[in-house]
Amino acid sequence: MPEVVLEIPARPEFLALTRQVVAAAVSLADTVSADRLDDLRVAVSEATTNAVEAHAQVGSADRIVVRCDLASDRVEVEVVDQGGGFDPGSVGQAPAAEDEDRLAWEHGLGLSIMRELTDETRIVPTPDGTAVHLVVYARPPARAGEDEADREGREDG
Amino acid sequence: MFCDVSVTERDGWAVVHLGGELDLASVPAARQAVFEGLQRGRGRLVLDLTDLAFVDSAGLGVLLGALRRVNEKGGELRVVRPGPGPRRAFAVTGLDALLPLVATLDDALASDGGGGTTGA
Repeated sequence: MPEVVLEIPARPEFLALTRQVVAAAVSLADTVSADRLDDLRVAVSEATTNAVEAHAQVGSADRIVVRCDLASDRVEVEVVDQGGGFDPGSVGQAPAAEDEDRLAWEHGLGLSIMRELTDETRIVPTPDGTAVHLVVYARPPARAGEDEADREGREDG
Repeated sequence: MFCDVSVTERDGWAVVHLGGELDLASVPAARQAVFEGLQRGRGRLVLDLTDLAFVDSAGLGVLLGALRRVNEKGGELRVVRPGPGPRRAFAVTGLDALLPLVATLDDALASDGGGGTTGA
């Protein structure tokens, strides 16, 4: 499957470039809708922001690698950092939006947004840091069969 | 610069305009503008998001911070609703229900907030 790989310095000013390159690559593949591309753009920004902050915390000058796999049925983006690792279990559930604790918890909001806006979000520890996999299907997998049936139904009628 | 930030005063309100892309790179400028707006408007703050093209959790944190500071001061906050791009981020975080959103800047500056704020 076609793959686009981007390496960026671990600095906030490269977040916009990362979103632009991923969005342009996904647009070329033309597998997901504009709305889903907007969702993926936010999720990629969250994953890359976490990577930038992880590098800053450990003082790493290494680059962050963003890899886009453009399959016919899905887009998979992998954001790989060398920022020493991250435990998704430590973030916990979001306090209610109006809860004062929500503000203190804001830092973990990115993970929650990634999970909400993609079909799959996987956080995979690596020897040097973390790889975040974000997957958006061309069509939601659970509903693919129904859509197929719907279309056949319409063609019959 | 991907984010366009300005602070103006109108009709007794400070208007902080946040346009373009609000992410970790533009958060410091946005936060500074909110701080300046709170001082200049004496707690009466409008966040104008009309031209906001993109926001992620780092940027949403600035908006939440503005709400918290206005509440601490006993001030008033009105937020001009962004276009379609950032709306999903608002919806999935529940911020569209939490922030006092209005449709236009004129509504925000009207004495009654343009006939009341609009929820989700």
